[in-house]
Amino acid sequence: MRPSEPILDERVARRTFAEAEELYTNRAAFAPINWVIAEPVFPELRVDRVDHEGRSIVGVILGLRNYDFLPASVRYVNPAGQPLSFADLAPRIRLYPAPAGGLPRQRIVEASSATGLPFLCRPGTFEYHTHVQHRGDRWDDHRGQISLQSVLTDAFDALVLPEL
Amino acid sequence: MATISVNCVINGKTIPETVEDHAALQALIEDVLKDAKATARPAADWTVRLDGKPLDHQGRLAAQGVTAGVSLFFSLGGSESGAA
Repeated sequence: MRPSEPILDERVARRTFAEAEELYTNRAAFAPINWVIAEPVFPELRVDRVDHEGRSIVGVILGLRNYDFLPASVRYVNPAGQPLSFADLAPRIRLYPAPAGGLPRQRIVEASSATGLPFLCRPGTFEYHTHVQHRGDRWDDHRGQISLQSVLTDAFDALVLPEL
Repeated sequence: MATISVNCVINGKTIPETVEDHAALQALIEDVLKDAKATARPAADWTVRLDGKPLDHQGRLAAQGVTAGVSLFFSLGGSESGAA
């Protein structure tokens, strides 16, 4: 199943798209962390992490066609809006310490079977909850709790970006 | 010791809070979650960031650089673990 495949009645999806519209309405609040939230156009919300001159370092597009019946789909894009490959992202991927020692871990995985693009392997994302390894962690248990702000925070935190 | 106002950005909304700057972050988190009606998850599940850096829940606000007028950003999920 692809995240853009319409499953949810569009009238319902447009109502829950309000969460993206609210983020945009409150976009000034995110200026201290250099997020630029573009005006959302159903079914997508784009947020860029910019530098001090306002230039995009990396963008994240949330696919919300079936939100929140299904979680948001996350893809990374360049300033022109083109999807970034794993090779594009690799130099910036953050490594996290493994919980009990062992090899450091990263949150961006090479290719989603649903999209073919590098994906953010975190609860709250379409790519995580539809991955065979995480089918036991149901989105149903997170709906209404993991907000789009949390997903976006995870998406940017998965990369090493210039300090604010 | 002073009373300060901070902006807490959680679930896409901004919630202004007035706090004692010597208080631990934990107390502020609990207040914000109540005010944001986001109590389904415990405070320990939330990461709070200032200037992009996660704060220590047990640390005092002023000691962690939380001063009047700053914005604190709340997100669910730990800041440390890798891919789940």
